[in-house]
Amino acid sequence: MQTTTVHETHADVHVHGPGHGGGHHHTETFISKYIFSLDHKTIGKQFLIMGMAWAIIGGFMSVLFRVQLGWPDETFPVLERIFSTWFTDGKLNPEAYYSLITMHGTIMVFFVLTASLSGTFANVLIPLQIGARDMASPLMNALSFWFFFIAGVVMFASLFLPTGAASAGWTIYPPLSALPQTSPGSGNGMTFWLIAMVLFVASTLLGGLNYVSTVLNMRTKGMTMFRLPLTVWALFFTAIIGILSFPVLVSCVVLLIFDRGLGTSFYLSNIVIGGKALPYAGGSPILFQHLFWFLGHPEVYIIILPAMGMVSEILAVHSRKPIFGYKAMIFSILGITVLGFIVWAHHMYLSGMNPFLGSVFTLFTLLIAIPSAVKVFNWLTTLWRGNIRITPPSMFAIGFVSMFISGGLTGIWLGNSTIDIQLHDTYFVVAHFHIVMGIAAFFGMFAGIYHWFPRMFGRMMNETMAYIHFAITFIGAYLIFWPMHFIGLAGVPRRYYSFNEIEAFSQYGDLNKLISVATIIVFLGQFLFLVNFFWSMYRGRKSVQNPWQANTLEWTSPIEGIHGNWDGELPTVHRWPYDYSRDPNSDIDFIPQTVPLTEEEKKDKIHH
Amino acid sequence: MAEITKYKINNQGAHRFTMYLFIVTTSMIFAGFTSAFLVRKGGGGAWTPFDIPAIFKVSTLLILLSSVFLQAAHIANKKQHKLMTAVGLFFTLVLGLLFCYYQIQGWKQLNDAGVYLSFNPNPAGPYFLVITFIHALHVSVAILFLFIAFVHSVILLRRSNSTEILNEIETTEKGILNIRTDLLTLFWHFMGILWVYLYFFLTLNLK
Repeated sequence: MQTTTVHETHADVHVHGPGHGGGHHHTETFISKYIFSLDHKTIGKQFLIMGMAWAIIGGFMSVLFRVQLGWPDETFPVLERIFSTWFTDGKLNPEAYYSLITMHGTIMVFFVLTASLSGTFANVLIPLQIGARDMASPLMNALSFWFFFIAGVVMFASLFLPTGAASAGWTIYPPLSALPQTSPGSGNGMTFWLIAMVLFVASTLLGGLNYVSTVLNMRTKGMTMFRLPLTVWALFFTAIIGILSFPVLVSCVVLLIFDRGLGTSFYLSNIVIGGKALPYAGGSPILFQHLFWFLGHPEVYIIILPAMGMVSEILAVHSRKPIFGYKAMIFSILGITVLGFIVWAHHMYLSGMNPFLGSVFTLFTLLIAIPSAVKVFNWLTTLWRGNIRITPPSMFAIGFVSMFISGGLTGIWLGNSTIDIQLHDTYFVVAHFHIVMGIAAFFGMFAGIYHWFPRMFGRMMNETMAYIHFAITFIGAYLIFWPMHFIGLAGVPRRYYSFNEIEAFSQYGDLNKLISVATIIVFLGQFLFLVNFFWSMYRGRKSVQNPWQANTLEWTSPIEGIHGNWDGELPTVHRWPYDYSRDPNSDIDFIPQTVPLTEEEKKDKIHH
Repeated sequence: MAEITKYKINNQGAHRFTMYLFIVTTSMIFAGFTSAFLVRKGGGGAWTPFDIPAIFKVSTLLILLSSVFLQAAHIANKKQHKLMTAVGLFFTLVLGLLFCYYQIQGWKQLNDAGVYLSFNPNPAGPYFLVITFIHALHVSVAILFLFIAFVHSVILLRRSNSTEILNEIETTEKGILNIRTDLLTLFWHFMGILWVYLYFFLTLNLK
């Protein structure tokens, strides 16, 4: 089952005697190897497992509130028996509903698609693909995971508070989030939320500083910046965005904490609750929105860039073609990074902000379409006339491109401050951001997991289960979010508990039922992935050294995953990572980065 | 099958770089605060400037002076002068603590002058207090690390007088102290510069 002859040129890197799976770790105990590990590969897996747990929790929350939205008149005694605090008389409580949508958003955006997506793949891929022994600071890397873990514990604990978890929406706009009198969830639930998020930001920064430092300082010999795989470029810019935007969330949250606990009025002014005027004066709720969205918008690029990077890599590998427009890809990531910081107020067109600002932000927002379109064009042209290998990772990568196009197009609508007057806070927005950053990022993540699973666990995932998983997820995701565009265009507002009383909107009851049924099926479909994941971890077909015949360095490191990544010398890089199908007369259609340039190639300036 | 040699992560330089990045993140927090300050100040509504007590000038001098001592300790450490390193770190520590003390005195004086935190109808006061408090919080954490580095330097100082068997251990430990003082010096200077920026920013904007 050895892959090809090309690999033997650097066989010395991965020579292994029999029976020494964990033989190097003679001083390591179970705890130091799997729990308080400093090895980037283990930390990556820790992020992945935590992320999967969070995705199940967050996904299940959406099932619960979709049950309410799909069948607002029915009662569900079974659910009440399990979630007795959230249900009364078989129906989801309105307060629990708001807690669930808030926690669904928070968990999915931060815990799954920020921490887990970046955490998993930055950890697993950065050192392996740049040819480093480990991260610049393995200790900070481990701390990053443990801060994430503790943040998760605090956030999870808030679900069991007597007053319920935070319920002001994941954007926690004050005054709703600032004053406990406004809703039960704004009491202790909100306090837990804020503590969890401060810990979370600490985790993200510890990770991000490390990723940037590692990419810039720890590359192996010959690995110039323009020989980096696009995954590393994407994870690198993701980390930079995090470093620049998450601290501002801290500023934002600190002022909110002062407002909540110490009687300041940074965000509060002229509030009357129950006929009683509160003593807050002089604050500005719009200021909160500016600070929040200064993180909140770059946050969506933190989510989508790693997925984009992985999809670029996976599409090139599985269509056996060099990525189309390598440098254009890098500069479009850079463009998205820069523009991503100057468009935040497009979330605030209807907040009472100066309308002149709205037109400036419309301009910048629509400019982002350019680098995004460059990327889509390059993915399609990479696939175009490629020798496409249909595999689970390539299916999910192509699914990503589909989702990104569908969701991206509606972004052009929403970026317009005038069209946003009609569409603001409707299901159209829900459909847009779920497809373009939620589903698309999940597809990127799945593509990444299926692609690098052999690298992480030394075994292949089951393909049949993977294809069924793909079919359910792909069709189901469109069934959930496509109809939402139409009910959104009709003006149905998001976050409402029930439309029974509203004649104009209750007519979409059937559509809501369809969406809810699809949600439940897609949610159940993910268990197929979970079964496949854990079954393959122990029982899957053993992977060969380079199962996808890819060029990047991670496939030259011993498949057992030794600490230090390579026995002996680190590999030397001689070329860029996308030399696929170079020679039409050769049976071998890939040339790994460690293969020296031939004399002919040296004359040819195209090859890096 | 070759023996697996113990590898060493080659990350010298990466530590310094990571600290620069950390300084960037910390700057972003204060960029967030000071832009919130400007947005609120320019946004209309109640906003009454007040006089900043002269005691903050003292604390400014203290933190700048502490940077001089830390730089001296840093240089002494590079020249392997153990006593000077420990002494330099000690004075930095004392001056850092004094800085925090004077900040607290400054907040008290403001409080007496009617610039208080809770339910203050003038938002300028809370902005000043919160921004300076968060800065002092960063300084306090840095003081904690300063204390660790100081203890470390004292241990090395004592050990060098006892035996020579520990030479090898000492070499690696000295390496750790080098990294510690190196990173600490960077961050501490940044804290000083940040304070000077905040001091001028707040003084000029509260005129």
